[in-house]
Amino acid sequence: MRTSLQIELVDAEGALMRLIGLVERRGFTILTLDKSETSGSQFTVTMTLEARDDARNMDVLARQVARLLDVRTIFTRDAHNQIAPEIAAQAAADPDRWSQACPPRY
Amino acid sequence: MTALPASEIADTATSAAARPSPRQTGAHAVVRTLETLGVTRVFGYPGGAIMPVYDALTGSSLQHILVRHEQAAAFAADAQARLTGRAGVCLATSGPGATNLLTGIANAYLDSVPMIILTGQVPSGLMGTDAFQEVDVFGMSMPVVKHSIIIRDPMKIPEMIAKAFKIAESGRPGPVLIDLPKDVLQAEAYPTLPPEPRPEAGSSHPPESDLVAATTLLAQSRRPVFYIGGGVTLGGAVEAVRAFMARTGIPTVATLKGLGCADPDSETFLGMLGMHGGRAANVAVDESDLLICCGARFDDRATGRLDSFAPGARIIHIDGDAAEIDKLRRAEVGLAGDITAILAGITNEWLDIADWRDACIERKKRHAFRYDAPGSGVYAPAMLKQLSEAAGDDFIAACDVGQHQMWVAQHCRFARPEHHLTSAGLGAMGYGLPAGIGAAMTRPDAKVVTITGDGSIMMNIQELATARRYGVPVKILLLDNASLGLVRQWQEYFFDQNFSEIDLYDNPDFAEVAHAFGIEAFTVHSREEVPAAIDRLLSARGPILAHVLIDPRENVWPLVPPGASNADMMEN
Repeated sequence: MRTSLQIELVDAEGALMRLIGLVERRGFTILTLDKSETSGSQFTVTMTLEARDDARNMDVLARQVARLLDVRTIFTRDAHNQIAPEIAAQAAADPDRWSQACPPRY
Repeated sequence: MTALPASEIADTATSAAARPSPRQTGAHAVVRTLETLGVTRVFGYPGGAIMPVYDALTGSSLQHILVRHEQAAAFAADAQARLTGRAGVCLATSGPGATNLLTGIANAYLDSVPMIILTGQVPSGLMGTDAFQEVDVFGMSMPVVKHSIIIRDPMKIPEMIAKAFKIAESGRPGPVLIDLPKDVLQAEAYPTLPPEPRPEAGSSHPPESDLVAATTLLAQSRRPVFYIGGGVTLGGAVEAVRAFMARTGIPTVATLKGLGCADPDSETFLGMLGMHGGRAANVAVDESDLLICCGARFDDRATGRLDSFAPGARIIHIDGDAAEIDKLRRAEVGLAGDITAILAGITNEWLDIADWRDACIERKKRHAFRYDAPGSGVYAPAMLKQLSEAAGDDFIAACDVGQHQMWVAQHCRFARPEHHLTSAGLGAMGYGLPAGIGAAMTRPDAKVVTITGDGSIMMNIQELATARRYGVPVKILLLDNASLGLVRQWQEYFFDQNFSEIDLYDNPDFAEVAHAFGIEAFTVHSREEVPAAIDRLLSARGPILAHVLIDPRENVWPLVPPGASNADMMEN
């Protein structure tokens, strides 16, 4: 299954390499990748991903991406390439981000 | 960042600046920042690119421990961090110094240990040119660090080091690497130091509705099991876990890193689960209808075949790190945040599990480990049990990796989880001796015992020199079966007894090796010598090594075969 993520990152040394490495290591293939020009101190990466096997979970990947210190926000994109509701807000160094990135479900 | 005049630097600096040198450099800023942040000890090894820091160390208040291999610096810093909860610090030069640290960094990453790694780097202008001793340690370490930084501006040294400590110690802890180009270290710099002490980690609380959902699942359960892991310690929730166990009476199992979280004398604590877990623990999980996973991550060593792990159980997953929820097993209720607050928020007034609890306790008694092995040779599990009982609540074990590591987990008693220092996630042979040195320097009042094997100790045996140099009161129990025992055991059962490259018949005489390093040592040949050996080991005031000869045919039991369910464990 293909999914698109849009990720806003701080323009820090190694931020893009860290993001790409994590996505690959966690079992996803990057099909397309677009990086915006840096605006202010941030830039945006949009990537289309495909899981290498059925056991990979996009929500879990999003939370793993949210742990990166350079990541500010993550959005999914729907089939029409429109930005869907945020799934991992405020990925700054804030302890509360863990719970924000973990929606309740029962 | 405000530049200070040199006169003010001299007034505020307590150490490095005491040397009669008015010129302050980036390296001085590194040392003074560490001092300001409360660091008292660093483990390291000097070399070309990091030499400016070593120059600035002279006269500082930092105690530098000179190890004999950079990997040992990382392992020793790791052990100190596990015992204190504050980041351990290690440093090395660029190139081989940095690459030698990588195993230790990976070890800290996989076990979520806060650590600061300072690496020298070739001058900025030479970076990317394949210069002498240049490797991209910033890139190489990315998969095994929580974060990493290259400091390009000497004026930012205090700010970035303080930030690194905050990152390493907050949330889910982990290692942070700081790469320091030599020109940055040598540049004249007068940055202000970070004004604040290191902050405490914050906490977060899940919504009330999630706690209600967890309480509802618990009320519906008749066979709950509490499954605890290393995240309990990281979340500062040991007391909360013990209170939850006492309040609910739920049978409890622990991962390798979760050992010591439960009161070791609790009758509802069933022991370690997983590949070398006890029958009582694995069967309880297999029969459970609700698994309350707390600070654990469904690691393959704990679960065995994942699709048959706790097959009839619904899952409540509690963790400080939301990225662990649903990673390997879908949870009916995922609770990410402060573990203490979460456990306190789950009520159990409708819980009725007396029959289940009694059945689990009865099974624990029925399948308790036996120590009446035949023969007169040393039976390692019995010796380890006697050792930990003799040492009491101050027993701290720094394990190496192999059969002895599993015997320690099965047979030793730990009053606190941080007293069980073990390379759990990475399984790095060579951890035990440097970790024991780091632990004994951190807790000289405790009974710190490195428990190692004849395979593992040879991976960092040079650190006997470190133990000798600093008179570290580390006690080394070397269980020598003249082979790579755990590999041999697997070859015996899963590779048709094709014993390939596991025979260490030509080991040196380890007691003589220790003597050559100037360390007290003796050899134990038989079971009757064990009580005296334990007494001698525990009463030694300096480093000491007990070389214990054991039967090479001895195996670790139970054992869950690869690819099997935990319920299908093999027993002796």
